[in-house]
Amino acid sequence: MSEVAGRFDAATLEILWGRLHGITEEMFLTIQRTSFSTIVSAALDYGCALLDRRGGQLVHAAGSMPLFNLSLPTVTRDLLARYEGRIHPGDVFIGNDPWLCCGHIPDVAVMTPVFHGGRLVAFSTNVAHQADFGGAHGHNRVREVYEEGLLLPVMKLYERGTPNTTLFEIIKANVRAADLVLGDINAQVVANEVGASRLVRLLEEYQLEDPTQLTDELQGRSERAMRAVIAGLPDGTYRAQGWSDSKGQATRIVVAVTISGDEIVVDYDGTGPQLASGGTNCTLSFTTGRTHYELKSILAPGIPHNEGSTRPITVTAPEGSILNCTFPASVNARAFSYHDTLLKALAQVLPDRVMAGPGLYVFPRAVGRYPDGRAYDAPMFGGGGQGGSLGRDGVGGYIYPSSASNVSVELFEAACPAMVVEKEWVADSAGAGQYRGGPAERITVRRLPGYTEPVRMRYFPVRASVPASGMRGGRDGTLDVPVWNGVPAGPDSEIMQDGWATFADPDDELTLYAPSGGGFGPPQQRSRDAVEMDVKQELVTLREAAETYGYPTIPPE
Amino acid sequence: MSAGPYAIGLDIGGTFTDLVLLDSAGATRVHKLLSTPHNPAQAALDGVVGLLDESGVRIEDVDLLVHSTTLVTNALTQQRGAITGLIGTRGFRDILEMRDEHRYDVYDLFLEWPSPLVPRQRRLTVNERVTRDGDVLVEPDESEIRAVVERLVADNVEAVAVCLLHSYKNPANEQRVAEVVRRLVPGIPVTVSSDVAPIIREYERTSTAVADAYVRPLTDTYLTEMAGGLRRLGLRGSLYLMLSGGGTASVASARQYPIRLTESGPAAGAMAAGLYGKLTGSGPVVSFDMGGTTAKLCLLTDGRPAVVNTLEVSRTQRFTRGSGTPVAIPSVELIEIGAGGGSIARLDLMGLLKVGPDSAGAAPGPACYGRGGTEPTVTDANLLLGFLDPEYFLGGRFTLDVKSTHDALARLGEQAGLSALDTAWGVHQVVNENMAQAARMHLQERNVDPSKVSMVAFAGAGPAHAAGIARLLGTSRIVFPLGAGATSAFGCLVAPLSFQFTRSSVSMLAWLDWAEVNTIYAQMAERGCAALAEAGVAPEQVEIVREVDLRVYGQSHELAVPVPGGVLTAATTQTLNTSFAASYRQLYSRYDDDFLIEAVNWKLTARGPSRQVTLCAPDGGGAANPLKKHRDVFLPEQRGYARVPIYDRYLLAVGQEIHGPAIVEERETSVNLPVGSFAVVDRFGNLVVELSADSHAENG
Repeated sequence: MSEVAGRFDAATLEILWGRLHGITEEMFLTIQRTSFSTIVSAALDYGCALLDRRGGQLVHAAGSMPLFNLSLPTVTRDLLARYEGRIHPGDVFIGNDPWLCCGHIPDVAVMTPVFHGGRLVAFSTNVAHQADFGGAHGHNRVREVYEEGLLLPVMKLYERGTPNTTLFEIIKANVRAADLVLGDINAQVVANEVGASRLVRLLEEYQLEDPTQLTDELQGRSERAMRAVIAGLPDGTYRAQGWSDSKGQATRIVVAVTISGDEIVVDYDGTGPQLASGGTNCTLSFTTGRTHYELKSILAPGIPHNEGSTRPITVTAPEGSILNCTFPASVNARAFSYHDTLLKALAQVLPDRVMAGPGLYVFPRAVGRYPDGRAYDAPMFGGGGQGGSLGRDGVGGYIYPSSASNVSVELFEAACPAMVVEKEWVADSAGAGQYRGGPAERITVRRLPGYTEPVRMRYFPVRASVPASGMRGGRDGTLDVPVWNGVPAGPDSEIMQDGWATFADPDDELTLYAPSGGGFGPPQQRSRDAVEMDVKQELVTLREAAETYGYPTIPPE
Repeated sequence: MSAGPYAIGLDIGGTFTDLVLLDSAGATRVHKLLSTPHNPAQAALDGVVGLLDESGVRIEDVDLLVHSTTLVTNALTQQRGAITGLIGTRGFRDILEMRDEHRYDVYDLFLEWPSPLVPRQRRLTVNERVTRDGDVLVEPDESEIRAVVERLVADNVEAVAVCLLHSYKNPANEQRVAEVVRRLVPGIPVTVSSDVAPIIREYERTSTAVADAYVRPLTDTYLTEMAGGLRRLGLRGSLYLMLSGGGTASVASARQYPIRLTESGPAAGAMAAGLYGKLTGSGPVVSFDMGGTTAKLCLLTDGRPAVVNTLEVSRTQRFTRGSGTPVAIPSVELIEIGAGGGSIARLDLMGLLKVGPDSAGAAPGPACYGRGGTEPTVTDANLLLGFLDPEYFLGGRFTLDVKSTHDALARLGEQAGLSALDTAWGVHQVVNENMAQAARMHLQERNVDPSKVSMVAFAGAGPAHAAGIARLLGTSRIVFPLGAGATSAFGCLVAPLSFQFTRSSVSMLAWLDWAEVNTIYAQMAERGCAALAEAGVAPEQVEIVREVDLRVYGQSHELAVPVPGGVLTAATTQTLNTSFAASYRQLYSRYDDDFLIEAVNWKLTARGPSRQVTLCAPDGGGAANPLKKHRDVFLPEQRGYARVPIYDRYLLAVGQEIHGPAIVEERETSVNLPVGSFAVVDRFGNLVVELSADSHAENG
C-alpha cells in the first residue's frame, strides 16, 4: 500500500499512527536508558512528542508527563517565530522559559527540526525535569524568576551539527550538578535524533514527501472525536469557587466552565492575584496545560491526545492572577491544588466521572556532597490519597497529577546519607465519605546513623493550608504540615521559610505527609461492611467509626 | 517409535494438557487432552497413560519426565492461594499495597490494580532495622515477634512471608524473625525475602516473598500428588519441573522456591523455539507464537532466551506494564501482544482500524465459527484472504462459515468506507504492524539488528502472518517447525537442568569488597550445586556461569556483564570495566571513560549437562504428491485474488523446494508463502523460508 498519499483509509491511518506512536516510544526509552539523574531515569519526569512543522502536536509517548506534551507546542511555536528562515538541518534548540514552556525553570525543552527532501517537515521534541538549573536554594523566599535559575529563551544548542560551546559553558557554570545536567541534556538530544531519523525513514517508506496531509488528517480526527464528546454534554455555564494552597497561604480560585455546542471555555476570571514571593504562581502556559489534562482525563480518556483534541477547548485567566502571572514573578513551585475547583465545576455536569480532590504528592530531596567530593541528589516521591468517587474509595499512594513513580526506600538510602524511618499510611486520615478518599502517607527521615556531616533535605508542602476538597457531602482530606523534631513547622521555621531542613544533630527528624484525598458523599451513608473492614485494617479507629461514620457498635475484631 | 530410553514432556495449560514422547533417535509423538483445572494432576496422569498406550511404550522405559504448569500463575491471577501473613519493618506496613505509586496510564482516572495478596490486617511489623551498609541498628525482639505471630495465627494464616529493609545486604534480622516464627508455628511454611529474591528494592522483594508464600501450600500438595501418582503408574525415571527462567529443577528444588514455577509453560515454549532455531542455523532468533488471544515474542541467542530479573503477573490490563504484580525471579523475557486469531477488529473513536486486545475467545469465537460471533476477527480476515481453507480448519474437524465472515467484514468495511476484502487485508496488515512494532522495540532494547535475526513461527495463527511481519522488520529468514502444536511440552525436554541466583550488593566497582563478592558467589554456587545434586548431577558436571549487573553511577538502567571464573580480586575491576564500556558503547554508541561504575546485582547460573535433543522429519514425506489443489488467495501485488497452489505439509519430502506464492497446510496451522519467498524442507522436517531482498520494498 504505497499509494497512500492521496487518501488515507482506516487501516493505513492506523498503521501510520501506530508507527508514529512507536517512534515516540523509542524516544522515551532512549531517555530512560541514557539519562543520569534519578528524577529523569527512575521517576520518569519527562515527556517526548513529535510535532508537525507548524508546531502542532501530532503524537506523544504514552508515559509522557501530560503537562510536558501540552506545553511543547507553545515553546516550539516561539522557536518558529524567532528563527524563521534560520532553521537548518543539524540544528538543535533548547529553551525553558516558564511562560512558554512548563511553568518553571527546571523543565528544559529540547527541540530538533526534522528535514526531509530538503524541507522542514516536523519537530522531534522532549522536555525533561533537570536535577538542577541554578538559582537560589531558599526557594520560598524568592521574589522573582531571576532568583530561580538560568532562564534560557529558545536558543540553538547545536547549529548545523556544531555544538554551541558558549551556551554549553554558560549552562555548565550556572548549574550545581553540571555533569548530571549536561548528561541528561545529551540524552534529550540523542532521543530527538532517534525520533527524527525514524520519522524520516517512515516518510521514505510511505513516499510521503510532505507529512502535512497525514498530520492534518490525524489531528482532524482527534478534533472531531473530541467535539463529538463535548457536543453530547448539556450546554451551560458551570461555576465553582475554592482555594489553592501557596505554602501555607490560601488564594481564591474562581472558575466558570462554559459548554456551548462542541466547544468548552474554561475561564478563571475572579481568581486571586499573583503572589509577591514563594514561587507558587502559574504561567498561563502551565494553567492551560493542566486544565487540558483534567478535561481530557475526565471527558475523553480514549481519544489520543494531539493538537486536534485541544482545539475545541479555550483556557483564559486574568493577567496578573495566580493562574496567569506576569514576568518576572517567581514560579518554581507552581500551585498544584487549584484544580480541585475545576473538578467541582465539572461535577455539576459529569457527577459520575469526577472524583473528590486528590492529596497530590510530596517530593523531598536530599542534596549535598560526601566528604570525598562526590555529589548526591536523591529525590523521593510519596503519593497522597486519591479522592473518593461514585462507587469507589480512593486509593493511597497516588502520585497525581505527575506521572512519576516513587523511588524505592532502599535505593533512596543507597543514594544519600539519609535514612527513612517511616513511610506508612495514617489511620483516620482519609477524607471521610460514603466513598472515602485514599489515606495520607507519613514519611519520617533522619540522618544515616554514624554519618557525621550535616545532611540537607529540600522540601515544601503542597497542601499546608488547603486540603483536598470533599465532594457531595464528603469530608475534606488532611493537610501537610511538616513536623521538625516533634514540633509542627511554623511559618518562621527553616522548612517553611527556605524550603530546606538541615539534619545536623543525630536525633534531628523531619516528618512530612503526602495528604489524603477527599471523600465522596456523606460519611453516614458509608456501608457498615466497609467501615468494619476499615477498622479491621486499622485505617479507621473505633472512635472515628462512631463519631464520623455513625457506627458506635463495631466489634473490636 | 524406535528404541528407548524415552523422555516425556508434559505441559498443563489452561485449556489443554499436552504431552510429547521423545525417543532416543529424536522421533516424537504428541498426545493432547483437555485439562482438569479442579485437579490438574488427573489430566496429566491420564495423558501419560494415553500417550504410552498409543506408542506401545512401557513406562519402565521412560527415564525422564519434565513438566511445566500454569498452576502457580493461575493461583496468583485468580487469587486462590493460601491465607498469608507478612512481617515487615516497623514504619513500613504498606509497602505491598503502595506498590511503586505509579499511575500506569496517566489519562485514566479510574485505574485498577490487583488487590494485594496480603490485606493490611495481616501485614504486621516489628521494631528492627538494618542500614544500607548492612549494619544492624536494631535487632528484632522475640516477644514482639511472638505477639505478631499470635495475631497472624488468630487470623488463620496458612503461610508467612518475612521481608525486612536491606535484607539483601544483611539477612540476619530476617533470619532471626523466620527462625522464631518456625519455632512457634512449625506447621506453617515461611518464605524469607533474602532467600527467595535477595535484591534491592523493597517493593519488588516483598511482592516476591509474599507471592512465594502464597503459592507454597498449594504447590506442595500438587507436587506430592503428581510425584506420587507417577510413581504409582510405575515411573522410575526422574521427574523435573520447568522453571520461569528456562531451566529445569528437581521436585525438591522446585518445592524450595515454588514461585519460580510461574509462567513455566511459556518459558518451555521459548526453549523449544531456541532448539528449532539452533538446529536450522546460527545467529539470533525471534520466536513468534500466536494463539487465540495473544501473541508472544522472544529473542534467543545460541538457543537461549533472554532472561530478565523480574516478571509481572496478574495484570489488570493485560498488555500494560505496571498494572500487575512484580515477581523478582529470573524469567524468560517474553513480549506479549494483544493480537491472536480471535482478536476483534473495530473502528475506534477516531475512526482508525484497531485489532484487539478484545478477543472473541472460543465462544462465540470468530464469525466464521458460526457460533453467533458477529464481529470480524483476525481469523475471519485470514479466511476471506484465502490464507485458510474453510474445509480444512483444524485438519477438517469443522467447516468454517465463509458467508458469516464476509458479512462481518463487510459491515466493518461499510463504516470504514472499504470493501470487505480491503477490510480483511487492512486487518491482516494492522496485526502484522503491531507485531513488527513490538518486535522492533524489543530488538532495539537489546540492540539486535532485525536484518540479522531468523524468525521461528509456530502455533495457530502465527504462520499466516510470519512472512508479512518479517518483511516489515527486514528479517529475511523464517523457520516453520513441523507439528508445533505441543511446543511447551516439547520445550520441557530441551531445557537443561539449571538454577539461577541473583543477589544485590550495591557498591562502586572501584571500592568493591571482593572478599564479600567471593563469599556471595561461593554461597550461590553451593546452593546451585546442591540443587543440581538433588537431580543427580555430579559436581564435576556442573557448569557455572556468572554475571553482574553494572550501571553508570547515577543512572538507573543496568547492563549485565560476564564475570570471569575463579577467585575475584581487585584486578577483576579492570576486566569488568572494559566489558561494561564495550557493552555500553554498543548499546548507546557513546561512553565516557570518566564514568564511575557501580555494581548492583551479582548473578550466577548453575547448569547441568545439556540434553542432546534432535528432530527427525515425518515418515510420510515424499509418499505422494504434496500438491493438494489450487485456490483463490489474496495477493497484495495484484490487489486481488489469484490461483495459488496449496501443499500438504505432511507429504513434503526432505529437500523439497516451493516458490511463493503458495500455502502449506497442516492440521493446526497454515503457512502463507508470499510472492518473492522461497521455501525448502530441511532434514528435520522444518520449512525454512527465505524472503528475497526486493520483496522487502513492499509493505506487504
